[in-house]
Amino acid sequence: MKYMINIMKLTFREVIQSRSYQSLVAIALLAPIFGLILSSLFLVDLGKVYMDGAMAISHFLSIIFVLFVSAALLARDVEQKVCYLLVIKPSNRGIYLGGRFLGLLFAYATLMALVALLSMVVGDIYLGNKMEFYQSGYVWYAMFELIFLHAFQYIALLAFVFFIFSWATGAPEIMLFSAAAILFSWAFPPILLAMNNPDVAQEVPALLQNLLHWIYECLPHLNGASIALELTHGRGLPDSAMALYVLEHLSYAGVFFMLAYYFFSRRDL
Amino acid sequence: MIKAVVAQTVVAQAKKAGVLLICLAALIAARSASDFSFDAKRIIFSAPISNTLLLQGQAGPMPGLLADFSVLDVFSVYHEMLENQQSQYAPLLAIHLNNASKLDPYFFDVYRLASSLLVYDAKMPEAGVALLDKASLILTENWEFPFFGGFIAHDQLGDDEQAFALMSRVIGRPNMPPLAINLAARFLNNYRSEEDALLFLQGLLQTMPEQYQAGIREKMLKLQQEHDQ
Repeated sequence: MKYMINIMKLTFREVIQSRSYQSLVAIALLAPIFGLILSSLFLVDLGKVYMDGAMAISHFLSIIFVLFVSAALLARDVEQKVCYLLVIKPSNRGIYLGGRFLGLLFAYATLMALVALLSMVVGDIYLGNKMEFYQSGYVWYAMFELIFLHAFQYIALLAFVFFIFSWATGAPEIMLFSAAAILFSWAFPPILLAMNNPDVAQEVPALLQNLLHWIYECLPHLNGASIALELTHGRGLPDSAMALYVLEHLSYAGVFFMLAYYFFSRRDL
Repeated sequence: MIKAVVAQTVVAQAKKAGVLLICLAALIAARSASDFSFDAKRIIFSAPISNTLLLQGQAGPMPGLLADFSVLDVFSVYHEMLENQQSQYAPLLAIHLNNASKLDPYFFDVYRLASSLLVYDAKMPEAGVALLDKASLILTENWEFPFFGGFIAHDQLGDDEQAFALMSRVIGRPNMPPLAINLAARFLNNYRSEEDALLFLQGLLQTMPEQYQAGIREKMLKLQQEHDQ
């Protein structure tokens, strides 16, 4: 455990000192500004538009973090054989993977905490004095709730990147499959939800419709798009739905991480 | 030591970012207004996607943001219609507003624009009433959209049946105006009969709070007098 914590600290320091991460921190400062600029163009739903803008920046930062910070770090470990140093005794492959994952997780959490805090403060100053009519359901903790829930999607994606890393030979493979996973996780859940719309269901072949409906029924119904819509309009989410959503994504993260450990421990380094 | 290094690097990156932003602002300012609006026209007036699956897939976990951009497209189209007399772009208003409501059904601005721009500027009252009808079913605590929809259906479309259907949804909603009761009764009177309107008002008298009952009785009296004549 001690060695895992050491690798975690090493990873965290390595990431926060990298230029790519520091650029992300600089961009994080723009999140509330983008929200302010966007909401100034609208008539009534200023709170909702502000949160849309700030949330967009948080998604952008999360994707860049997964693709260009995490995947790049792991790719470097393989190509420059840094992982050889970190898997020798008293450490081992499992400790190395766990330490790297936790270090990246903390770096990601720091970034998202910064975005959430700045967005909350600026949002409260901008919207706090406006009539309720213009706030459109904005509450001071809404940004934190939004970013916190969306972060679980990217934690699952981070674990997927580790799974790819466990068998990939270099940066191109890791980047390609990670980008494909991001694209899938972006588009598939809202499409699955849209299949419940009768107008949409008419356009889809029956076999595909049945398959997608079966998949939809097997999974928790709350997804990132629903969370964004409900929270930006000040409409709360049921605790049970949120709990299932968190559990779902932590399960994905757990499964991918276990697969990563399985393949990495059998890999010829 | 590490904190000092991090702080120095952040400051250096922020300076570089600041220089880049200034250059970008200068570049945009240096372009002529007509050049910028021409680019905007090409982007906005190419056929927008209206397929729900493609829209949802494109939006991903940010349907609200894409709905915001659709509303911004509405503003740009409306600007072109006003400034350059391009009224042939009016159908694009309906497409962009429908896209925005598909992506974000709770978005108030969409329905406000539908009740104003779409009906009175684009001269598309059917599309406006359809959107307001949708809003009245989704935003069940709001009385404005079914009220506007009912009035537009009566005034612009001459469809008192639809006007009554929409106006009757206003009744019972928080802070609803008493006028809605009178209007609903009038629309019902127009497309059915005075007896039906009186029955409708009698039903309301039994369910509505006291502050609305005087107005309902007054309307019932007027209708009874018209019927007797």
